[in-house]
Amino acid sequence: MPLNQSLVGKEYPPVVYEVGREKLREFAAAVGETDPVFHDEEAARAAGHADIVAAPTFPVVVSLQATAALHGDPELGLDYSRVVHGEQEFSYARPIVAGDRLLASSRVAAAEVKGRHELLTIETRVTTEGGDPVCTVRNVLLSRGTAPERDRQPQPREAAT
Amino acid sequence: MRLDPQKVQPGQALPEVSHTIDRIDLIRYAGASGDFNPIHWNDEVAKAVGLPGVIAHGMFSMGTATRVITAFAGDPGAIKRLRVRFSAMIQPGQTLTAKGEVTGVDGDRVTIRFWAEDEHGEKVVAKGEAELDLGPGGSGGAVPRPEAVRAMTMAAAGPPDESGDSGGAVPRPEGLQAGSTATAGPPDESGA
Repeated sequence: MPLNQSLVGKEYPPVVYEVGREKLREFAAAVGETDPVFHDEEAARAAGHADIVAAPTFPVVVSLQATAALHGDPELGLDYSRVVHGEQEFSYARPIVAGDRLLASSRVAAAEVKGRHELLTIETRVTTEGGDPVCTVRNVLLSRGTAPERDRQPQPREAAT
Repeated sequence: MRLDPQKVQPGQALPEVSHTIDRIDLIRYAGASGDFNPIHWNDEVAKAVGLPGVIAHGMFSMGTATRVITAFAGDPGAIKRLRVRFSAMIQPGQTLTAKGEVTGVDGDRVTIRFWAEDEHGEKVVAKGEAELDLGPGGSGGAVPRPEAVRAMTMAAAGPPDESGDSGGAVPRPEGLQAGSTATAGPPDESGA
């Protein structure tokens, strides 16, 4: 089923995410980050941070919680069995540190046809509870073979064979 | 210790990071990230959707690839932007090697291209772009982005929707064939 293009721009309610030290340590270990600023409060403070720092890709954990409502939105029609992860981008205003209380809200930033497939761009804004920007997370999901027939574009690769 | 921008030159190669993926890495990443899609830990489910077996989370590969950036920058607060494209899958037993190269230096602002490939040289994480602000206030908040840096970044990466180079990210219609997909699934759709 094609994605519902009319939902581009739709925003989903923010979720609150409380950043814990052990979670940051666990995540850093899972991606192999061994710098003490990711694990040790003293080292993080000595480097000028308020507390243990999140590994740069950690905001994806926050964004996954914020996008749950979008993924499950029946109006959008996203079929996860057809989805692969196409792109990921993080823009940082500042690093996340332990003790942060964050708000994260997702919106459908774009939905476009690419050949037989559709590309869904989701943008999640992560801020402090006071509204100060922390990070913007953008991910592009590829929905395989769901482009509506009338909008399908020939793909260069297919055309050539 | 934050990298001194005076010591950075365009074309400079970043120290590589290499990691042979073990199944436990993916289980650990699932727990740490909350992405419990079974294609990353259950062979039966992975095979049922046409995969050769469990495959790494795309974000595990990006997280591993990002180590070249964090190690080079010396301070995670210096990283202003990261972007990648997922271009192939990688499985336990394979080795992911991340590499990077400085593409531009403008005062305290440094742009880097980075990628990660498997042991056959196939890019798993492609078109990586990183922007660093190595100035003293770099971790303090938004810093205006000089147009020159932006231009260099774009030149290094190409336009986002350039169709010819994303073939690896667009799976063939038959489904999830080797080399055709990147991967990361929903955190909450384990049954899908």
